[in-house]
Amino acid sequence: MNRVVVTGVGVISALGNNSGEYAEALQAGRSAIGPLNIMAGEMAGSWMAAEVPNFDPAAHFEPRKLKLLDRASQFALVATAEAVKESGLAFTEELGARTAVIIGSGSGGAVTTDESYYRLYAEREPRLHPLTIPKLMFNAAASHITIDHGITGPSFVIASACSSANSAIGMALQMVRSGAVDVAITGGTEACLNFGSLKSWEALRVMAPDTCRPFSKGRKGMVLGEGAAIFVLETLKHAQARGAAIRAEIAGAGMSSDAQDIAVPAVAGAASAMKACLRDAGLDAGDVDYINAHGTGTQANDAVETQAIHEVFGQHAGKLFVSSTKAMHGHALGAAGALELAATIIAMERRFVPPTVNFLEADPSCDLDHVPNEARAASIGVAISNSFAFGGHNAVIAVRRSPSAY
Amino acid sequence: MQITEAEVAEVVANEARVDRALLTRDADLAELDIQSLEIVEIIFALEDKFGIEIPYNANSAADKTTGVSLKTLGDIVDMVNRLANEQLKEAAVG
Repeated sequence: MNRVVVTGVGVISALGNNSGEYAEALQAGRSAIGPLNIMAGEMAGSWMAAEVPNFDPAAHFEPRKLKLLDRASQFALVATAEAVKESGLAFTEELGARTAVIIGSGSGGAVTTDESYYRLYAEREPRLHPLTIPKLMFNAAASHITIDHGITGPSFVIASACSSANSAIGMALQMVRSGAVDVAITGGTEACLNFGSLKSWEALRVMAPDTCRPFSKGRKGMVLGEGAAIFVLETLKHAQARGAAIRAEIAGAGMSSDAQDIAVPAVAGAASAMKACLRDAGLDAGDVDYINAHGTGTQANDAVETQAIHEVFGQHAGKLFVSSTKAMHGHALGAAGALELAATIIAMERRFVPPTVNFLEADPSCDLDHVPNEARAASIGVAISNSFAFGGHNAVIAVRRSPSAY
Repeated sequence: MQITEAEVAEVVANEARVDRALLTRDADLAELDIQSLEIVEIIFALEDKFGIEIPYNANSAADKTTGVSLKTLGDIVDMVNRLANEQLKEAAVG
């Protein structure tokens, strides 16, 4: 079995339009959550959200390309360009055929869907633009990555709601590890801050009216975010042979399903995904230093996740750092696990623990070290990153600090 | 009703982002790298602009019997004029 390493990271998020800006904001403990006003007149709405700021698609794409791209595909391509450039890989015909593209997305081309249906239902347009389907289709982001980079190996999009990115990264890990491919471009993308999506989430009664406060007393729910994080994975051998800089090792992945309730999280499902991940990575519970938690800021998730961590880590749970970066970059649904894996890798490299910001005071049902409000200097050798989705899909990724960092 | 070559060329240039100067009557659309989805966009825009219906289906685009074979700019000009006149007559009869 191949060891699998990360040689490129690309990020676009509410915290910054590239991975450098993202890293600075994480370390500073800055929250990008603020009011988002959309639509006008009687349909006007205002929500708390973490929106990607100052993003000008025309600065990234030719008009002929841009008209094919939903916002989610735009994010994916921008982050992929950064990750591929950093990796130094050039996709020759041979390497392109040995590369996979596996991307997570929770809602596909939701902006295009929303805008198109608005034209039909509200504006009574008799027909839609011919590019509506190519723009809104769920798989579009993966397809455009293959086209832009000349990748002819396997490619697809995985949808498991808030676990989509971790499911995708876990799948990519397994394909590279097994030797099915030498390289994978993986991660997640999401652009869900449109009127229809926000109204739908609002109706579920899980959105915080103020802000996202994971694990804190007084938390009132989740806050949506958006963006993408994309990684270049390759075998350790492939990376070493070409002298590539290694950002981290993806040590393992674990997945499970609650098989209980469509919305209510379950301790057993979350715990079994974490256990499966440790087993897959060949790690003992005591090896783990940091958990980038799912930590949505809902009453249910944060208490259930804390219990699950106790169950898996036992005595060691008290020694773990367990923070949620969602209070900074929002809950980016199908991109969440990818943004959080990027945060975890950055934390390992820069030797700090990302804080759980907006933290008011400890909640007895969340009794771990949640690193409230300020980043802490610490050396993380091994971390896991949790994603637990509506639908009961759980996916956990284990990361080791880069072999070249020791 | 007469739709001019210049009017059609303007639509094609806008939709496919092709240099207007290259769009002569004999200009070959494929050689100008106008791709299949762009043909669909051009059809859509022509319908909007000239208030006509173009019975174009990408599945039968290569089928000459449908009467919609679009190889050159001239093919498009002839097609929109033929359809505009037919549909004008139908409207008058109706």
